[in-house]
Amino acid sequence: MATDTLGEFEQVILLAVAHLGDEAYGAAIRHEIEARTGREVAVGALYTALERLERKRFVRSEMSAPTPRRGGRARRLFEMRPAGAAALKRSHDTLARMWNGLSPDLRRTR
Amino acid sequence: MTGQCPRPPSRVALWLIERSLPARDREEALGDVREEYARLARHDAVPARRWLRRQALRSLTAIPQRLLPAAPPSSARVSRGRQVVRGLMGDLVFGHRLLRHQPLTAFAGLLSLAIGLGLNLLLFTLTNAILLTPLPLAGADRLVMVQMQRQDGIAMDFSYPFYQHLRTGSPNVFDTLVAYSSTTATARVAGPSEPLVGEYVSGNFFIDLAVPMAMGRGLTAADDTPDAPPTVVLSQARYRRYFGDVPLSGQQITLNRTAFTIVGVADRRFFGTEIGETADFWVAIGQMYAFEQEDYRNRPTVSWLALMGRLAPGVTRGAAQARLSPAATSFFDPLSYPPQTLLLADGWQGDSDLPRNVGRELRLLMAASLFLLLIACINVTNLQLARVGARRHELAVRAALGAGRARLALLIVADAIVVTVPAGLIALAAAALWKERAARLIAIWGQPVALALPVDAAVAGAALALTVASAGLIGGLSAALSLRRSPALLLAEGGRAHIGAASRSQRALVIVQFALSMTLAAGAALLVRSVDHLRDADMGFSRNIALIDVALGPAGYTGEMLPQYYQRAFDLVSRVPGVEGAAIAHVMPLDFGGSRQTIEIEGYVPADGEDMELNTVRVSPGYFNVMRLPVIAGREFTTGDTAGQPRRIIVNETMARRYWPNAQAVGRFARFYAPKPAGPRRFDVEIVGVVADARYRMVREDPRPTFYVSTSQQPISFFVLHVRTSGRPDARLGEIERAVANLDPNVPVRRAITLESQLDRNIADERMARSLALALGLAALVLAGTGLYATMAFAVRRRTREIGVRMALGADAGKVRMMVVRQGLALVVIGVTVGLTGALWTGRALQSQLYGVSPIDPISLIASAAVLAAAGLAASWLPARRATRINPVTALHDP
Repeated sequence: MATDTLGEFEQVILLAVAHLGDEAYGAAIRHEIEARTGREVAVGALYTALERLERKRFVRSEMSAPTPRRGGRARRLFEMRPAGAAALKRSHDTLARMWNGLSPDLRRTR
Repeated sequence: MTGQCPRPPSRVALWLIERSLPARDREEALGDVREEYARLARHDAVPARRWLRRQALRSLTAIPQRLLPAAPPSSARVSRGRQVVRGLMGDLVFGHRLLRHQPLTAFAGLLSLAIGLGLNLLLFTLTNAILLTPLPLAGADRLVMVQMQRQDGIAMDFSYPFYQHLRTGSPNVFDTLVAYSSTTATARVAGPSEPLVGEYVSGNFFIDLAVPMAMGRGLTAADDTPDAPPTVVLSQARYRRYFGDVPLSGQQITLNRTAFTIVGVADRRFFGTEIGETADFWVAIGQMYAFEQEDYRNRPTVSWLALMGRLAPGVTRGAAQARLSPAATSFFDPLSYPPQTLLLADGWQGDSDLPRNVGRELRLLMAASLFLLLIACINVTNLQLARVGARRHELAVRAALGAGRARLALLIVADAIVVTVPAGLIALAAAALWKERAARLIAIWGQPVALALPVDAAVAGAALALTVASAGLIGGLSAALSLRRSPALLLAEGGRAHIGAASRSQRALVIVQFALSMTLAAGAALLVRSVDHLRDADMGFSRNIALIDVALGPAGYTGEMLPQYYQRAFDLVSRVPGVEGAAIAHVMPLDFGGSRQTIEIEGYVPADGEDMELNTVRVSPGYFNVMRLPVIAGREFTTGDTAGQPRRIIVNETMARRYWPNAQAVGRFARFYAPKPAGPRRFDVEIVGVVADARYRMVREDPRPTFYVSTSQQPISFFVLHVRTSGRPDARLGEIERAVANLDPNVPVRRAITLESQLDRNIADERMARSLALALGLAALVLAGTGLYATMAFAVRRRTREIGVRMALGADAGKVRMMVVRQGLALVVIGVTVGLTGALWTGRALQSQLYGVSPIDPISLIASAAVLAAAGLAASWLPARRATRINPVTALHDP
């Protein structure tokens, strides 16, 4: 299980979680991705993917205390787990190795 | 920011998004969505709605992922029902994939079921059209036929004055009462004249019953009088034949020498007032005079009209009957008839003979076809069991991983559905494709029927019901038989195959199949033998007869012209090579109908209520010679018997024996009343001869007292020319017909047919039952054979190792072959023996349909058993041959 490769969307989510740190709840993750990529994210797809990542033990989640600011609703906070970080790193390394020797416009540099 | 309250988010969109979310996150995520929507809507409602719509649309792609996950979500609570559905859908996909790897098994199962379901649906389509479909008339469910109880039976025809009396004299019973009667006419538009069948109808018929029209108008009360210009409504088929696609514009058709204007064309759904009958035209009763040069409208005692009423809303049939009978009595009282009881019979199919004639056959065939479906289902079950056997590894693993018995059963049911549903669809398509061909087997009184054969909701419902029932039966039976033992044990058995429970079940199923097949085959054999007997039945007269039906009356022949025409016809016909003689009679033989006439026998006192209305046939001199009907006593009619002389009749043997048991009939006298419009005319008649019995109306009738009258004393204007040829008349029929047709172009030949073909038409119902039963029997044979083959092939495959060991130890090929064949045949023998019980039951059910065959006819039983045994032998021989080809070395190496 831990050797699973990550899909692109999964990577994007994990990276958003990493960026957000303690504030990584659903809506924040969505906004983070939308802000950084300019792509609109489907709520259903996001939560389904988060659930899958949790099952794969890449993230863990816990319910935060209800906050007065959000109308009393509790929210689920996500946190990166070591396996998730490792998977992200693997993905990054794989890509980095593949990019190695190519310029961003796909010209060979050596 | 405006002060307005923005429109709330679409509930549909929210619902869709909610569906796409994991249960635990729904509240939070939906809260986010609402918040986001509200935030966007504060600036501008349009982009907010667009955003929500995009979210909803994209959730659609997320929903299937939620419904069909590879594994159930870890912490989510999923309802049990949904779990079942989710599992089933996965199983369906999986089952479909497995089938693709076993195309032959899949094909065999599919074909078996498609045959079983297809024949069922075909029969149901016919049954639906004949027994379940009402006339396409308004308020058909409230239609009733008026009948009158008489001492000697039930009268169904009434006079026109009685119709009017009932219509005006019984308010609050019917909301309409119509009258009709069938008729024939010689019709001509352009080209040769031809005979048509039509109906006289009362003026309220078309409007009150809302007869569906394709073009123009129906007949109205204004048409229903002799003073109105002659008008006619044509059937759509007939109109198309004459005018093609030309729209209706006052075209005319000549019916019996009167020109009628076509005012309307009935829709093709409307064939006439009786299911299965075809009318070509409709004419108002009031124009009878223009039509027939005769008018019965003011004749209170001439019964010729069928009365069909539609009960007023809220009036029960019982109440209607009670209110009608006084009306009948008040009508018949002045005519010095006894009080009359009127009865009301179902009229939603009109006064149709078809449901009565073939209803029993159809029901029996439906039962037989359900048997066939059962055989097909068993076939598929058998194949399923084999597949479950092949999948035991997988099932064992699933069981070990915690799948319960119910979950495994679901897996097996899914497999059944994968086969059944496509088979149901194929069957429905096949039934729709072949229904017209099957309908051609159905005839009414020997005439092919016109049936509307809709593939309607009833047929679709039957298809669905049968498919679901089959899936349930196959799935349930397979699951029950293969999961009898704990699934955990499956693992213990693991891969090592031996003949186990599944195989025993398979054998039991093959036995059941052969038992059911025996039942069907024996029924089919009985019907085949019965039809053979009917075909070979002794008619009493020669079979080398060509029959030419001719109507002189409508062409204006009367008096002296008639005998002259006969003579010219005889002369012309006898010039055709091979013709040995010709005569005429006034009825078509073996045509179900004929004439009856009341007769008084001198010196014979009838018992109280004894029916003295006897069969009568008017024949020309020479008739008995032409028909090879032996004259037993006295003489045949001659041209010397002329109109001026005392009347003479010839009686048949049965009549002679019945009324003059101890004496000569020849020389005795009788008396009858000629049915003349001017009132009864009494004739004393002398019996001049006795002839052998003959079947005249039907093959299946016991000879009845019949007397013959000579046309030389009483000429007839409608007659059938009987022409005897030296061999079979088929080759000469055309020539003979042309000879008669050339005599006078105004006299159409209404039918030209050989006696043999007439005989075939006479037993059309029996032949229909035989053909369909034979189809069912053959299908059963093929299915049972396939079932046995599959079982034996499977058994051989599973015993590859054992057989290999035997052969390695020196068993010879013949012995191995025998072993397999013996096992296969043992199943057949047991099945056929069990099936004998069913066969006897079938014989009893068919008893009334059989002719010349005992319901426990040994030849039928032995023949069926032999055919099944032969099929069984073939079905076991092929796997047996394969068994002997097993290479011991590879068999032992195989795991």
